[in-house]
Amino acid sequence: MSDVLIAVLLVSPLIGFFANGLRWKCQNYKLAGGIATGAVFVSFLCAVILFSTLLSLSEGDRVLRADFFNWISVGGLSIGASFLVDQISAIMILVITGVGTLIHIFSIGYISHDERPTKYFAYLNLFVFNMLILVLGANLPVMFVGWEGVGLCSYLLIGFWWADSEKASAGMKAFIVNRIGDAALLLGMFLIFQNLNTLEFSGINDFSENLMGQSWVTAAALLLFIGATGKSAQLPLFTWLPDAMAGPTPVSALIHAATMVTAGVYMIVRLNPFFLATPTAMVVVAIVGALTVVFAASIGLAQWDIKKVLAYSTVSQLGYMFLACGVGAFGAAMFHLMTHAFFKALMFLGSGSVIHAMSDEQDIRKMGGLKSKMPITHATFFLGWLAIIGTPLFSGFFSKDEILWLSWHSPRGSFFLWLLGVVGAGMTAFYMTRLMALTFWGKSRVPSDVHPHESSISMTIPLIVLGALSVVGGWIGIPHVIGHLVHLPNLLEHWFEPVILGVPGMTEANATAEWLLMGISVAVAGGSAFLAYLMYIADPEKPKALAAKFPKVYELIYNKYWVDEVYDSKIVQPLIQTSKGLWNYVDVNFIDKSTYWITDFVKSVGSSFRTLQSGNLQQYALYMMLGLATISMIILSMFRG
Amino acid sequence: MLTKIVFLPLLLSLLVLVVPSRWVRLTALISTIGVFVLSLFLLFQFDKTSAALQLVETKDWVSSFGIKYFLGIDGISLWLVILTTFLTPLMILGSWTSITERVRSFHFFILFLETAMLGTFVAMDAILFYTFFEASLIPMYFMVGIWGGARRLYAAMKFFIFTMSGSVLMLVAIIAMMLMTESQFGTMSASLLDFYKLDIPFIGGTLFSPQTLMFFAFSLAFAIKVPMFPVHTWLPDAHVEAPTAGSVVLAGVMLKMGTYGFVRMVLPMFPEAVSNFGWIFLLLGALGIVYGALVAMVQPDIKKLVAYSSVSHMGYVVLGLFAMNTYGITGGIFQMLNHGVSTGALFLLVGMIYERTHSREIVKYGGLARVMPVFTICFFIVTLSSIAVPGTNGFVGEVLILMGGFMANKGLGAIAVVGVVLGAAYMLWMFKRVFFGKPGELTKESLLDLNLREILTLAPLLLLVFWMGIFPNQFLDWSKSSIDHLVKNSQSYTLAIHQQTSENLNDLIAEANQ
Repeated sequence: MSDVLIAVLLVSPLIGFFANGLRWKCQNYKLAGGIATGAVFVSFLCAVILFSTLLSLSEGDRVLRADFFNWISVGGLSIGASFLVDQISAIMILVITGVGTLIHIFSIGYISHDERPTKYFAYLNLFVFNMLILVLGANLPVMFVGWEGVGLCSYLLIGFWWADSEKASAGMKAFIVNRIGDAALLLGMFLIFQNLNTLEFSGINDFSENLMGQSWVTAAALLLFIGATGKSAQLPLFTWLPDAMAGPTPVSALIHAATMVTAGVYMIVRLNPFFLATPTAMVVVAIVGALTVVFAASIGLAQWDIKKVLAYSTVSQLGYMFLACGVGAFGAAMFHLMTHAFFKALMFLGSGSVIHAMSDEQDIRKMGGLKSKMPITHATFFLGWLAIIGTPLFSGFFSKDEILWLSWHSPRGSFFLWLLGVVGAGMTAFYMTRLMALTFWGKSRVPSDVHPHESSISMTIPLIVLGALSVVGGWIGIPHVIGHLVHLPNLLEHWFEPVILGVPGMTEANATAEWLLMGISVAVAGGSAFLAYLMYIADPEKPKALAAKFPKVYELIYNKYWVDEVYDSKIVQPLIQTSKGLWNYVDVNFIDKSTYWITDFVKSVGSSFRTLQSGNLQQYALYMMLGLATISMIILSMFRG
Repeated sequence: MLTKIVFLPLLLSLLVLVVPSRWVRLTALISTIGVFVLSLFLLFQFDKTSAALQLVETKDWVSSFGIKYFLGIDGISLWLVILTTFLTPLMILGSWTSITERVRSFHFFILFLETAMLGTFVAMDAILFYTFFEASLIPMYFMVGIWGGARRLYAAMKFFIFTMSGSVLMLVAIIAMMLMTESQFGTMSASLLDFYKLDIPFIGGTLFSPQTLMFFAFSLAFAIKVPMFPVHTWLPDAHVEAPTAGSVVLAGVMLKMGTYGFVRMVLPMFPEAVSNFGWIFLLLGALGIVYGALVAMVQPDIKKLVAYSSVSHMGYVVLGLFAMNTYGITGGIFQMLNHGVSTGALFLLVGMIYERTHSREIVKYGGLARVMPVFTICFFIVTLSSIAVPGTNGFVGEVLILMGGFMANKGLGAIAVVGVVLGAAYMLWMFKRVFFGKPGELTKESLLDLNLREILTLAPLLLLVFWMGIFPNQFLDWSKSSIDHLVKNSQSYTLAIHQQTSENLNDLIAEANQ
């Protein structure tokens, strides 16, 4: 039974892909959207049934497995097209298909003016298919199929408006940067296979207990992590994600906020016993995550493009998830992955609603005062804002706070990591409030020829649902200190218990410390939000003055630390120059030239023998035989002598 | 059976010479499809559980030197034979309208070439192999020289001289080995099966031991054919000047004659030399992957880009083969088929656009996706295969090779893996410049999208891209026994002749009934 459900879950979006893809000339966006949404909704239903099936099983054996066929079988390697629904992937498929369905519905309104709605929805369905393969795959290679598959769909959707060369380039960049990570991921996979002779997740995780302290484990884990930094846009491979905003906004919501970019986090959580076996790699994961939190958030402080702010925010929030993984708080990482999927998808869709209303304007300097024009978009965005800045009782509060608390309290955590997290939280509150203020509040700076209006109902309903989820989504993971007061259990933690190992040496939580830290982070976030409010609403001239006061800092942040420029001038351009050099000097001028010398030499030798050339065929044959005989004699004497 | 398959094209080429001129194309097409269908019967007669040489046919040829007409097939050559018969009709269909001069001789050469290629893959006598191996040069030389582009004579000559000079040394080595069979077994033989049994003296630490010399003599011939970095420079010229069909067959089949030579001869015949000097080829394979990809990236001409991508892809094959483990060799053999399918398709596609615009310069294109959507989709699928996206054939080959290479040598495996990134870079960058962005100089509304004939030419290839990518076992299973046998016995390889012919089978059944 579960086999069939898993099959339907996977195949339904694929059917949607073909149903729309084969009618690529059709322009009926409602039909296309209907098919695509229906396809994902069927998957969602399957996911719900699978989830409830898991619930009905006893805690120890909540695993449903489907083996469809043997994919590659060579020597000791046998990769099955096998899929696994357990506590981790069940949550993932619910998020993917649930949020996915909402985003599909939103897309119907969003894409209504486009010429190629069928293509758009076909790609979107193909993405969902690949994403499901990614999270359901029972072994690394099958996960990798989805992993590259989602990258491909991301490429297609970022470059959806490919007539604009820059957008096409953004898609290409996303794919190639991701490929750097993928190459490392492959090496990590090889290393694991060479040592463990299996690539099944269950096999790797079961072995992991005995792997503590082996150096190859660290190498393999780091290689996998490099793969994760590519897909999940962490330092140093994050540069593709902001560019990816060239795609349609619902795509940014689905792929570049809620689902695909969390794949790296998912992989580490999936292999949590393996990563726990290598403290060194864990430290690297935590540090990279924490640095990304602050780095990306700081860039977000000074961006003017509504989607760019959200993009850097996503990079930063993903950093929190890696920070959580690095300190061994895998459950918290999954928790934040889920709540982030809700509020970030909400905010991206909200921004899509704004952009749609503003006739494709994305510059927040030209917005302001949209609150009255777009009440539903504003209200839902407001909920997302409350969630992301960590307002107590909203979803983001619970998940982020759990990460901050554990990055301090866990034996793998430290003050330094916690501090970066809190600084990041402060910055997040600042840039998000700034975004709210510039977009929705204050005076309108909308150009007179643009007439913003509330979006259609197919766009606002997903916003409302996601808004509700952004509020209540965190209640399934209420921390124990609060839970004790209101007698609510931490459902999520309990759910993950069988599949997510704890960090060895974790001590009992100190309630006072937990409350104190919670208080600090709320105070920091509240303070920065208030500061941003003051700066952008109360005294709109202040930011300019501040930027003028610290021009170097402002320039640095505004220009995203020049990372793209440095990559281009230090890596891409030299590579192209080197390649041209190789072609010109090695191929054309060295290898070819030297073959000419050889032929010239042969020719000159040949001309001195010209007298021997008489045009007589028999004579040639004689020479040939003589030559062969001589060579044969030489060789013969060598072997026999 | 094998004789029929090998010589049927040659026989039918005579038919092409005599039919009325308007029937030439159709005759050639039907003939080659017939050969393809015939070759599929191999799958019914082939026993995939056996590693032995099957469907053997043998006759004395030059008995005084022990040279025989000796054909046989095993899991290594089986798919290469079918690849050849599969690609040939597509070549003809692909150049249906682009070849307008000397149509008759063009198709004669294609059929002639098919026999030579098929012969190379099934010949089990060294001299016979050499004959086919060299015979394939002649039609190819003419195809480039007559129907080629502006610098066709230069390219044809370069191709001929490069490959010829490599194989002369091989001939010397073959003769030397024949002499050794006489001294070791009493009678002279050119049979590869006897060559395998030879005990060729090997002295470590020097290049001048007999086995090492022969190893390099054979390897050079095959390396040029593959072509491996740094003896690859004939390939871009040959490809750029060759007509579409020439490029397809060159990349699709003829390059594999080199890598096939490595598996069939070099690896099993010179075990000590391979373990001592194989690293050179492992290294050149890995370097070739990166080098080919880098140079491909900066090519202004689409066809030259694809040609350099061949250097890169064939680098993978060599890396896999010299990894000398099951993964590498299986990946290498699978990649030979992949490369035939995807690079064959790429050359067909480049030919189709060239036929419309008479230009292959990337900068002159742009925004083609809007004008030629079907062409774009086809090109994109082949691109996916070329950059080895999972689900396509390219992935299976590449990942097995990289794994095998990594297990053989971690450092070289890591170098080779760079090719995964660079491959995506040069293909997608080219794709972006040709198909996306603003319309280029040549991107006119009047450009026609693919017609039915062109779609039919590409369809089988596109189908195979996914078929081989999703169900690779259906192909790998046939080669498994032979590869396992090679890997297990790499130090003392022998190849038996499969005994279970149909007659024996009848005997067995009769026995069982009694």
